[in-house]
Amino acid sequence: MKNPMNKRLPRELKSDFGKYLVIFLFIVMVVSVVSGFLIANDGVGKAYYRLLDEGKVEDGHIAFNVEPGEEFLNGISEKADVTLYREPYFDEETDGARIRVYTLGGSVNIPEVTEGRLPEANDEIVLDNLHTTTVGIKVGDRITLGGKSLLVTGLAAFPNYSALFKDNADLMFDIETFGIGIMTGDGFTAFASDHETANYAWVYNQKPKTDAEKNAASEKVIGALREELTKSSMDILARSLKGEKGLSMIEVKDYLATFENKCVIFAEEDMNSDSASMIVFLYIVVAVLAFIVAITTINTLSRESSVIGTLRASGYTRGEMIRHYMVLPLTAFFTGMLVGNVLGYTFILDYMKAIYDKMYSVGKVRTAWNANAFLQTTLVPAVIMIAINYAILAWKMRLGPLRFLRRDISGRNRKRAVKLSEKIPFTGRFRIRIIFQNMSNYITMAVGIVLAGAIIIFGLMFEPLLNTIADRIEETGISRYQYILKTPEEAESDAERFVLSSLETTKKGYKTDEVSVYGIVPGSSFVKAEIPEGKVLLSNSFMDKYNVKKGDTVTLYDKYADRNYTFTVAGEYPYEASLAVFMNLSDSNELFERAADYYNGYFADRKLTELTPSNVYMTLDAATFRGVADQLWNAFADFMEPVKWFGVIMFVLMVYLLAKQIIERNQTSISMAKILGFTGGEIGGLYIAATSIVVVLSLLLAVPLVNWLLRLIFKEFLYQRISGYMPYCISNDCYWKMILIGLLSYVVVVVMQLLKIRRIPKSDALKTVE
Amino acid sequence: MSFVEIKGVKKSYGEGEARTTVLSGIDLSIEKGEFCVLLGPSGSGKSTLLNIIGGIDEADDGYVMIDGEKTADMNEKRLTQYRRDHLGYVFQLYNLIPNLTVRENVEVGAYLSKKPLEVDELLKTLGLYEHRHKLPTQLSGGQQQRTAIGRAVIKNPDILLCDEPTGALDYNTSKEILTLLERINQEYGNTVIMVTHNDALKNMADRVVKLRDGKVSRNYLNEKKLPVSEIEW
Repeated sequence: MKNPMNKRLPRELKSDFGKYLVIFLFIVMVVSVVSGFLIANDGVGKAYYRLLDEGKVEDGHIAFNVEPGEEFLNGISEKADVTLYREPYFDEETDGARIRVYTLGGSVNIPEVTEGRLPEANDEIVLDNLHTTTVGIKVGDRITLGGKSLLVTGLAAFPNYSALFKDNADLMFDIETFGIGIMTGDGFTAFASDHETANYAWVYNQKPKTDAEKNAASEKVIGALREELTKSSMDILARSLKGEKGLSMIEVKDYLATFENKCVIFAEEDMNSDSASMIVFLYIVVAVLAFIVAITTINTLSRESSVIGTLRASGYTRGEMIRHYMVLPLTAFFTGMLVGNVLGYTFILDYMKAIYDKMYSVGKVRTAWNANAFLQTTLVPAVIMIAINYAILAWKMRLGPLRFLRRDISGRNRKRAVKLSEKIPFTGRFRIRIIFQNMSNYITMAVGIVLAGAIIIFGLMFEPLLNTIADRIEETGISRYQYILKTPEEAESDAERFVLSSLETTKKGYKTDEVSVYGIVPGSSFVKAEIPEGKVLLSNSFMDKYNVKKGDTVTLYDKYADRNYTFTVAGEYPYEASLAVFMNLSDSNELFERAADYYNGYFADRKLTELTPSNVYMTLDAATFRGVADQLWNAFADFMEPVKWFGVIMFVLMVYLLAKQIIERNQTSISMAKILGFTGGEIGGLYIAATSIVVVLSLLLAVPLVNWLLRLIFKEFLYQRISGYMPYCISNDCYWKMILIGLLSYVVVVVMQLLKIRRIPKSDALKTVE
Repeated sequence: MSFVEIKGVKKSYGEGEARTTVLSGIDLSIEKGEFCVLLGPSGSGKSTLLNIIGGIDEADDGYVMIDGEKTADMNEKRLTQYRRDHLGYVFQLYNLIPNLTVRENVEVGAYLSKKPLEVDELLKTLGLYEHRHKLPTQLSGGQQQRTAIGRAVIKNPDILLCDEPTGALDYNTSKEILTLLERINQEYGNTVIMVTHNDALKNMADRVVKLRDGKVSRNYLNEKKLPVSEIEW
């Protein structure tokens, strides 16, 4: 015989449809987003690895100021056991964007054409599909690059540029003002760019597998490079001593192993960390939902206490009762999971893929059913849901039948009512007692509100944060322009010399950061701070990110010289454009063993048109720095709007569900109050006001808690995982908006509750039936 | 040995100064098929004794043995099985499942038994067959209590425990319910133990047990058993 109690399930579902609908919607929302995300993530991940594999991505590259010569290159190949491939490129401007152009026909970094065809004529070019999609370039368009007109014959994904980082030190990729192109060999030569870079890709002859092996292999390359550089310098020195003219020292302009190259690894790392964050987020939300569901079930147990007591006394087992009360919430939960997965594989998947398409270029993405995503989005949450509900119900059901028959299942052996001063008006005491009565509901509600608040703030914070970053970079800018030169060159007297070196951070547990080490002239009119001899000032960005204090020492690493430098920190200098160290120019040149008057850059408040353009390695100005903020926002914007709405919906559903419980729990009292002559408004004033107090207090409490939580995420999680610096600052507007959004959402709940109170019949109080 | 043997059962509630002794050594034997009425004023311990017999409360001392098996020796699981297999419960409040019909509420009891009675037959006996598709809210108090009795009896339990089954009912409805219990006892041969504070109901019992201050003040077999229809109060 089937358990006849099952017959009440559809009726129970009908009579409490709102509750189960909320559980269902809640889980549909979370699971569809997370499963859609994970499947898109998986598809993009597979396409990414396929692109790396089929496109034969390099293991690293070295760029030189001049062609280094065969002997030099052979020396590296032999000593480091690598094969070097010539991969020259030039950077040219087109409509406010910089395009880096490579040549076709190489054996490594082979692009995958996603639309159109490869270039065949000298005036044809294929561009990456990320930048082109962003700026609206289509196959068949003509672009003007460095003043020359080229036909775009196709779009492609480049294995060495799945993410478009202009510079490896950049915080975020830049799809608006940076793109990749490829031309035929003849076209490349015919273009005759002034900005050609002698670039060589290397591929290991024996592929390293582990991180340690990759590191060791890369060290071997840089060791070989150092040896060849020393040998070449000695040779050039000897030859110039003999009077030979026109010799150039070989300088390394860029050295980057692929495992450190953001253009290649960022997509992978970002997808992995996004995926991990999404899963953690899903589990937290499911756990909160599980507690909410358990509370609603406990309220049902309270309402049906004596029936349960009778059934238990008649011989129904604990297990049968637990299962009975878990069936409906779990049905709503599993139906939600099913629908959530279906949506995740359809609409949401398309949405998520579109987001990824705007961030990474990985060629054709194919998505398929993914056992891992199913496990993570369905099985694990189901286990969390069942475990939490089973544990709480089993704990409640441990009470014997008699306790249920006596309706004594609260677990709180309260002998006496909490004494409240009679100075508090009657209505005030009434509300306080409602809060005491529903403490577990309200605690869950407060936790949920803080969580929803954190999600709302997370969705709101980035736009003002990025504007603040741009403002602060501009405010703390040293000069309107910074010129980095290839070789020292005189400029007008209003420009101020500096020497710039690049080192790397060494702090364990953090991603390696590039640090700009500035040598500043005495009495600088741009860096207005006293730098004690032998000591350094650190940019506030550096001090904040690495938690450095005045008097501490920091150790930085020069990867080209394989040498550590330790600096004593004399104080902070306000500068947020990069992580920077400021020292005296003489100290810098002495430390890096350069001529005492060496310099390689200028601070200036005007454009230094007198400098030779081909000698300018890089120009940094306000637009460059504002571009960083814009790039960051471009990367975040698509994510943040849905995040904010997710928080709002979560807030409404959760507060509605818990507030509904409180009204239902007090249905008989409300009915009695109606009989006594209280109006619906007065009853709402008592029961809804108590919930309102908790909601408002929770929203206010959410401000410091969310601030603390997000600060913790920034300092203990984000700073270790991103290179570059993002200050932690949340605009006060965000908190006001969160409170306002919370209150407006709550108004919706209040209206629903008032309607519910109005519908409670007076006869409820007179019923003797359970 | 009697079907139900109760020896030296003691029960107290609370701690320290607030400790109240409810049962202070109860000895009692009830034979199989007997209709036993437990009489006594409020607070005399009759409901507590019924709950201990039913295994939903524990004695501090002494034991209850049913058909040769001590309830105190049973673990929680075994005790539930014991209630499931042997006991039927009827309370003063009907405790029906509000969103199940009369028939379904009775089926809830049938589900627990390996040898349940025929549901429709019992509903006819209970006078509920016409109302079988109604929800509890559509029934009178007497009909609700009959449904509750049906839920307990459908299992065909060895012992039917009734705690003030007519406590919330008017005179006529009470008589109707008591007649039903009398009929069930006679037709199905279940042992019925009924708690009441209505002294007149001793007349319908085979055995009358009077409790006062936690002790058995009288325990006797009723030689002049009357049908309920002839009892007035």
